This record gives sequence, structure tokens and C-alpha cells, in this order.
Amino acid sequence: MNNLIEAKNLVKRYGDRTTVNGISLSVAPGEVVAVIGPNGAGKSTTIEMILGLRQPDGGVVHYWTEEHRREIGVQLQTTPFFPGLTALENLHLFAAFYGVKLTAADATALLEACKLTDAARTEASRLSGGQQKRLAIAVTMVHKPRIIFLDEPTAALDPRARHEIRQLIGQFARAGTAVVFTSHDMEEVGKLADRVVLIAAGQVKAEGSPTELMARFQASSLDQLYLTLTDEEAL
Amino acid sequence: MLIPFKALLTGALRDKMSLFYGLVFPVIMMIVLGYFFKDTAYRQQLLIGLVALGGFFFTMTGTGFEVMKQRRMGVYKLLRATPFKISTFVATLTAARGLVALVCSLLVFAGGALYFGVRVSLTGLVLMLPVLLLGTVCFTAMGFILGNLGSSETQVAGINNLFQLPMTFGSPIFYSLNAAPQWVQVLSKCLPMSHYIAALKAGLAGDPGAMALPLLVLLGFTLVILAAAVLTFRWDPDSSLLRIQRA
Repeated sequence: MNNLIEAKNLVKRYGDRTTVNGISLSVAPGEVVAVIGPNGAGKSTTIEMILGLRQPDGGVVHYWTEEHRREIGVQLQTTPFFPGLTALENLHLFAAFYGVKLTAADATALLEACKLTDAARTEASRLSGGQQKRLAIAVTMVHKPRIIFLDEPTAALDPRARHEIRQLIGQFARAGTAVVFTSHDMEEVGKLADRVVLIAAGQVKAEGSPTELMARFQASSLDQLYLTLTDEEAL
Repeated sequence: MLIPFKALLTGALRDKMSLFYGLVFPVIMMIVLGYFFKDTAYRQQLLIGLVALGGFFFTMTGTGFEVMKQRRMGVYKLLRATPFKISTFVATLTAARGLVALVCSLLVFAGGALYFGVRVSLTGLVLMLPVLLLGTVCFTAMGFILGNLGSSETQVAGINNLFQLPMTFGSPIFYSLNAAPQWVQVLSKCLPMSHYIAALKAGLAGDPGAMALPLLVLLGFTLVILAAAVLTFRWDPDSSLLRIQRA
């Protein structure tokens, strides 16, 4: 298997409602994939099925290794930190969850990369929104995974914090980590993604590199492409 | 295992609210009630009752709020994406909070015994330890149920009252129930706290024979409550109890 992950025909139903209806998604080593689409389109559910957080009602997910849980980093929409613990203590704790003992040098390097050196000994719950998101991304990298999943990593952040997170994602991607992220920010998608997967109404509506997609759908920007492909009447 | 245990222990030691109710509150109650009631037998009963109450507050209420907060923040969801087993996490959290509760109980007991002039034999102390341990596990499991049932601070506080009020006032913590109406005495026997206190009392008196039955009943309660805690456990804040059990 050349890809790290190959999800085929994933289906998820809640009662009569089909949230994900036959979505397939693959990720190659070192690739940056943006999953975009309207709220409720099925992006997070798809990612959660790939991560094993939700049981699919149909379809299958293949991983490049049976020990994939040790090699995948995850950032959810919430920022799950342990109450009473500092940023550094949270890093050590999450490293232990992945079966890794974080060395002082590794912790320092990671905190530096995420611009959290000064906040290392601050209780995680007291960090600013941007710092918490950066810490959540640091947590995804604590065990040096081959692939990270970031669910709306820049949501509800100010422009500077967004810029810093984008730089961080770019930095990890350049170092060879595959990244799958969801976003509503088309500027971010254009800057970071090698490939875009547009999901609407539980299905993949378009897939390709940003330039390829814009050319195919004769869109002048990713924003325009997004509006065209997620037009509810057209759907 | 050691790193998660140390980290969760650190978290428990920084949980100021739980520490207040587990350590400071019983001490204040002891000082206030001890000032008004000088009878040695009553003071001994009060000491046992307040040790039990402090541990109960720390483990049940503290764990309940922590479990709800961790689930709401997505900690359990994220844990499922790691190779760390959730059962190991639950056991580690129970052990960490249990250890702090146990130390709090021993501190309250030591301080109270000195203040009230209660004589404690080495045998009594040794007999009390397994009771304290079992009570800690029982009430921590109850805390998990509390955290599993409530989805917000308000809900947990409300359910906490349902658990806490009968246990506090329907058990011989502050007073003996010997003269209480029959139905109150029957209700009292349905609460693990009453058997916990009975076992602690027998332990303190150095009487293993009298300790055996309440300890066995407490063990039974603990097993049932642990099973209920496992059955009601929820990973995801958005999911209903039933849906999670099917997932």
C-alpha cells in the first residue's frame, strides 16, 4: 500500500439521516490534504470514522500499519487538556498515552516550534485561544507521527494566531509529516493544501489540487469554487 | 503507567475545591462540633463520620465534576485515538484521586484523634486501612456515575445533591440512627455510607469480627456501583448514553 490511509465508501447514518454517504479518501506520505465543505457536510464525521472514533455503517479504512494509533496525531475541534496541568505537563502526559517518554530536549524543541516556550509552565486552561490551539497541535506531534489530523485548527482565532498556526502546519508538512485538515478559510486552504477534497451533503463533490480544481470549474478563486460547488440549489 | 499516574496525581493535588471539601471542611466541622459536644463517645463517632464524609466529598463529587469536564473537553474522545486503553486511564485516575483522598482521610483522622483525644491502637489503624481503601474505590466509582450522567456543571451539581443528601443525612455521620424511625433505619442500610462507617468504627475498635459483615456489604455495593459506572461510561459529549453503549 503506497498511501498511508485509504478510506473507501464510508457511510454513517443517524436514524433516517445519512451524514456520510459513500466518501472515499486517501492520503499519501508527506501530502497536505484539505477537507472543505459547509457545516454539517460530514467532514468531521468522516475524519472521526477514519480515526476509529466513530463506527462506520458502511465502508472500510485501510492503514499502512497495524500500529497506526501510535503513528497518528489528532487535534479535535475542542482543546482537550487536563485540568490543573501546565502546558509542559500536558505534553508529557499525552506522550505517555502514545507510549513515548518525552525527553527534555524534545519537549523544549516542540514548545519552541509552537512558540510556547514562555507558556510551558502556565496551566493549559489559562492559555489564550491561540496558545491553546498551538498546544493542541504540539500534542499531535508529541510522538513524531507520520500523519496528523487537524479539525478546524484556526477556527475562532484572530488573524495573527491564524497566521502562526498556518506557519506551524507548513513547518510540519515541510518536515515530511502528512497533514489532513478541515477548514472554512479558503486562503488557508490555498496556501497549505496539495490537494483539496470538497464534501457537501455527505459526498465528495470535487477533488484535486487547488489550481486544478479552479481550472476545471472555471473559478477565479477557491472562494468562488466553494460557493459554486456548495450552492444548495445545485446540490 | 507511571507518568499518567504522576500527572493525574498532580492534577488531583491542584484540585483546590476537592481539597477544601476533603480536608478543610471536615476539620472545620470537627472544630465547631467538637466545641459544642464534649462527650467522648460522640466525639469518636463524629471523628469516624467526618473522615468518611471528607473522603466521600473528595472522591465522589470531585471525580464527578472532573469526569464530566474531561469528557466535555474531548479528552476521552482524543484518548480513543491513542493506543492508551481507556480502562487503564480510568484505573489510573481512580488510583491517583484515591491516593489523595486516602491521605486526606488519614490527615483528618490523625488531626481529629489528637484534637478529640481518641485513643488509636496500631491494630485499629491497620484494620481501618482496607476499609478506607474500599470506601475510596466505591465513592470514586460513584463519582464516575455522577460524571457520566451529567453533561454540564449544573446537571452534575443537581445529581450530586441526589447522591449526597441521603448519604450525608441518612447515615450515622453526625448522629446515631438508633433512635430514628424504622423506615429511616431501613433506608440507612440501603446506603453504602452506613456500612462504610460501621466498618470504620469496628476497625477503630480493633474488632475484626464486627468489621467483616459491613465490609462485605460495602464490597458488594462497590462491585455493583463499579458495574454501573462502566455501563454508563460515555466517550463523547455529544452522544446519548444508549448510543455510546452501542458504538
